[in-house]
Amino acid sequence: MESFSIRGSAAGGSLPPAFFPKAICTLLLVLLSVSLLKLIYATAKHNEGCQEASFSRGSVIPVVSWLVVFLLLVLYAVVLEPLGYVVSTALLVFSVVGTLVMLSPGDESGISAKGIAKLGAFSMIVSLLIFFLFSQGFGIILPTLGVMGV
Amino acid sequence: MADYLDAFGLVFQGYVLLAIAGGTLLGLIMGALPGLTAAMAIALLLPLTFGMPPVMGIGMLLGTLCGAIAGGSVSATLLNIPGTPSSVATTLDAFPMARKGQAGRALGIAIVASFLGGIFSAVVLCVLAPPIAEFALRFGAPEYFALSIFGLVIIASVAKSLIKGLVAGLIGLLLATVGTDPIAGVTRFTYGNYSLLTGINLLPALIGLFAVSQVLADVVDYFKTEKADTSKTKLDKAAPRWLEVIRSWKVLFSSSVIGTIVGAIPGAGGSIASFLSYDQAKKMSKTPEKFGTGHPEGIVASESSNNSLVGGSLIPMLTLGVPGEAATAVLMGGLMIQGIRPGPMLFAEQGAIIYGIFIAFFVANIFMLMFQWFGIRLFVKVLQIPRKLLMAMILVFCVIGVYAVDSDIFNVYLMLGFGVLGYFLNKYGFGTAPVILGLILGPIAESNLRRALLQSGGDWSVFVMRPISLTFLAVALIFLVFTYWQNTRHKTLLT
Repeated sequence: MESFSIRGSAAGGSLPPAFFPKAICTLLLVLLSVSLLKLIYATAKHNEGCQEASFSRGSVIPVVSWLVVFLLLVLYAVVLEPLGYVVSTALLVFSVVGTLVMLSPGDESGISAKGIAKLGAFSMIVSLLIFFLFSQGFGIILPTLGVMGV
Repeated sequence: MADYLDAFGLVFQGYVLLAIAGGTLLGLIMGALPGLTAAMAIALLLPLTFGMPPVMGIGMLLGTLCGAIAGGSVSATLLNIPGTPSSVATTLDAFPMARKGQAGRALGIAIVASFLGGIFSAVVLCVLAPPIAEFALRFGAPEYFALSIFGLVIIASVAKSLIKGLVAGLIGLLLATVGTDPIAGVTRFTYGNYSLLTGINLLPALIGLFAVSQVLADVVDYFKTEKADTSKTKLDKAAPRWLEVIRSWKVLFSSSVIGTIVGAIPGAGGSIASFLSYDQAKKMSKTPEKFGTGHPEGIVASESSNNSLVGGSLIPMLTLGVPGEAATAVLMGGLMIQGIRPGPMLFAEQGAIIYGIFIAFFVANIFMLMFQWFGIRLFVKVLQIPRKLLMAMILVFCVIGVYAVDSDIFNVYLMLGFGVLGYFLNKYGFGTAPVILGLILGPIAESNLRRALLQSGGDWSVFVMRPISLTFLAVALIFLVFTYWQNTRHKTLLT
């Protein structure tokens, strides 16, 4: 719909600026409609004699972890500039690995005071190493808190 | 010849060689890790090339590509899990050989076959690319429009369903219209955001579609797949097996030819090349029953063809500006970020850079051989890195790389958006390569369509009256019909 509001006219036999987006949207609409119809047909055919999907811990955990990791990434983008690179990156590494450890049935052994301290130290070291590699090695300007250069 | 001499000067400098070596080493490490694709490896290293001269940056990315394809053989041999999709056929014989206690022998064969396949395709690239580029100098606006459509159709047809591939390509084309219109200067879909005035930045799109989406998929798979364990794998002497590979010279040659040809066909991809070569080697063999039991010729066929594919895929990318598959599409994005637009004009105007890229490709193959020769035990150790740590670190590299472009946090949000888009496109079989190709080819297609119509006074027949343009459009149409027929036939056979 937005493509219909693009202004600008055709001149000398050329096409107006809205032509390309409109043409693409129309094609997309046609192909997606075909795809949807095929999907509805296939689903209807498949559902005959098929039992309903059941929810188990095993099927929910990957979805939960996906959502948590994605939200952590969004949060990381939000706090990157206010908190500075080093602190926010250490928090991201710690929370992503922590999430995977907590949700993974085989990794419970990592949840101990020693394990948490090790992960915290790892996160901070990785964050500092990457910071110095990029800022000193490649000359890339990263957000800092202004404390001791980090 | 003068261009080659200039190119030698550009490549044989300490920093350039160091960059190519570094790219190759990182490519080998990432290729060895299952789940990390060659396209992802290049996308992650792209930001590091910003401050580098073109040959140095592209040389580093080429090294990454060669290394990642060759590195895939490590996990294919030791774990029966291909590091990259192009190593799937390698598992058929390398893993059985490793189970016989000859993992080092299997890797030694793979190292030599990868190197010789890569060198073969580099020679073909040097010989064929210049005349193709010279021919492409005849292209005008209608031909470029037709070529863009041809490229999109070809790459869209690789998706699991033709319609889904086309949808992904159209999404890319639509995203390419964001920003200032190329002819009239009107802004489109920017919603008052200054960061979008120059269009969607290619780097957040590349890293989002190929790296973030992959990590998000890995997060889901983390709970489903068993953890890889190489700690008990015993490795015998892993030295290159030159004689054993050269003894299979017929297989080596035919597989390298197949790999190069398949690579040069846009859209075909690495796994197709290695399976075709494997099948051909089996047919040529006097002892086909040995294939699948740990037969050296099976490893030679797969590894030489998937590495020769790289040189082949560079031919359409460099001469016509049409990348053959995902990794080359990301590489092309890297060239464009460097301010180099691949195509015939590049050969005419910046010959030294092009020939520098050719030489860098040879050098990358030599580094690949050396690193694999001396560092194979390191790559085996790499497989023991816990996946959870790896995922977190890749995410950090994604964000830092995108933020580094111009310290604009909007690019990070854009990358996350592309990451989610890429995840769902892959999950539902649409694929991400057509989106990137649409993003790259969109401005070329639109500006040349409008320019052609401006020149012809609005006469659309200009696209079918010129033989080259007509050929591209006709081949694209034939390909569409053929792929649709093939997909329908495949489904009918299955039911």
